[in-house]
Amino acid sequence: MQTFRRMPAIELHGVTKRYGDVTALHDLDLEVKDGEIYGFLGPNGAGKSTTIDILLDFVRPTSGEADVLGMDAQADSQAIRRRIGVLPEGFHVYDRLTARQHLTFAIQSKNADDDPEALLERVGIPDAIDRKAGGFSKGMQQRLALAIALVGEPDLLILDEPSTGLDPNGAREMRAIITEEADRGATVFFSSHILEQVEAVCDRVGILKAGELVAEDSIEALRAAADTSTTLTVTLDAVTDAAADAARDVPGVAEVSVDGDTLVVRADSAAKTDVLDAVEATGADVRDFSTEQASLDDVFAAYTEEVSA
Amino acid sequence: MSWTAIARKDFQDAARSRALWGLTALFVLFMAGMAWVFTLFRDSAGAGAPPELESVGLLFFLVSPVTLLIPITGLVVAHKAIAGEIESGSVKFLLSLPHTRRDAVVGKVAGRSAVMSAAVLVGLVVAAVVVLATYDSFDATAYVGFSVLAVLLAALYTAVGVGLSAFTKDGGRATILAIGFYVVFDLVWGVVPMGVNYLLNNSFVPSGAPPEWYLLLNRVPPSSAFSSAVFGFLPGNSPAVAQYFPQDVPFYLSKWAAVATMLLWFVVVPALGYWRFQAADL
Repeated sequence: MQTFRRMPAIELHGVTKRYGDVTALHDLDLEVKDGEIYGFLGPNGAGKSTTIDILLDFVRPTSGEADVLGMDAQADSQAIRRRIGVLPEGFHVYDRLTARQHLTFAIQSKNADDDPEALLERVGIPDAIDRKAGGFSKGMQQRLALAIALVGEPDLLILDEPSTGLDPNGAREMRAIITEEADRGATVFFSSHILEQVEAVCDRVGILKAGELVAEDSIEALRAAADTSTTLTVTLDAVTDAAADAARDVPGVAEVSVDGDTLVVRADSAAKTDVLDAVEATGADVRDFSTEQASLDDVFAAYTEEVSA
Repeated sequence: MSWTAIARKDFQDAARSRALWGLTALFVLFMAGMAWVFTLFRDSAGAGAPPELESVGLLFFLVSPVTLLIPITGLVVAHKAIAGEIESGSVKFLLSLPHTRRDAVVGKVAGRSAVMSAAVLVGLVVAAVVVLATYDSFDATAYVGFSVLAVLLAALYTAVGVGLSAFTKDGGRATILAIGFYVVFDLVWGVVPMGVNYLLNNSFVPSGAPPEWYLLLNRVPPSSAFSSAVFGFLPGNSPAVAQYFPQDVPFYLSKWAAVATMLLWFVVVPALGYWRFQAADL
């Protein structure tokens, strides 16, 4: 049905993927809007690559539906792949083919008319054009793979862990190219297990954990959530269960852990004094305390790590 | 025609490896060497005038060594075509470009068959030079006909190797499949018609002229189909082989049926491999 809203670049509905009795993805819903840069975050093994493999029809979902650029990921896979650029994860170059031959193959495959030299110039390895890719460092292979993904001005770029093997400088150049592509009008969907790589460029972020989307929001909203979260470290004469329980019972406290004679409390900023009062009320003597604002990393960690109370 | 890009890339890849050059050298040494060895047989024929040295005789002489060398090299060249790409991860490049999995199988069959065919052809051309230089006669039609069948055999075994490699994601398992195919169809197939005859007639070898089903079963393996086609098309059947290649036969024992058997192998194994490959999670 034609609507005024532009068609989403990626749309997953209730996608589940099981390998034997292991569930890699559980009832995943995901929508990436046309033209946005979407960061797909999650620890290794969360199901990011499985999701991308389903978009590319490398893997078929056990149930659910996946659409890319308004086409069915399975039935219309070839048509989809004509219009997208992919940087796969865990890929391997053809050892005996040169960078130029790799790009020529991709250009022919997509009926594009790109210039291999210009593409390699863009990803920063123009001098390697006639060298066999088997001798490339991991970082150079990654740059070559990015150049291949850029062939044919794709409407959607799917980049799986694009910064793998890149030094900080290379990762920065990668982000610059992602921004350029988005400015051209392309949608960018890229996965990472490192937050700082996505926070600089992404419009929106989805956080995947154990095959489920546990958070999805703009970077600003996630940052706002981080700002209201504080880590309070309280050093006592002796930590008692009563003191820890009292802290845990204070409204606004998310998490309390014990480390020697200190209590580490994660809570809303406003709950700080209440926590100190509650702990002192149990008879404990507060020797020292400090507070620390949570970073975006802590928010990410809170979503993706097992909570240890 | 997206498979042509894959075929071209696969051929380039092989052309840059030592494998293609080694393979070509092997076939040159083998074919030209056989052409020369055949002259020695004539020279050692003993008393009386030595028989004419004919190129057709050489071709019959080549049949059994060719059916040894081509199947092995074809399977070696092709048996990791798909499984190896899945194992290494280069298939992720291949299939993130707009190629279907069928393009991948067809392109690999075309690319690797071209590699094998090129090596076999160069060998045959060099052997033809030896024949022209040292033999009394050169039957060009027969030689070209034999070459076409030999190239078909090379393409067939390459296609079988590619097809088998599409059955699995594991390179080691692909090797086992290729070895298994060779053992079953090139080494032990002979016992199959004998076994069937034993079940029917309580004897392993048919008494008298072998029945038609026995001959047909014998021709099922690709190499046997090749031999049957060579004996059927080349002039001058010797009486010894006439029993196995009778003149008035039903269509399914004709020389064209032997060619059709080869074409069937060329198509069926890659098709089965594709059928498994298209359903697989990579």
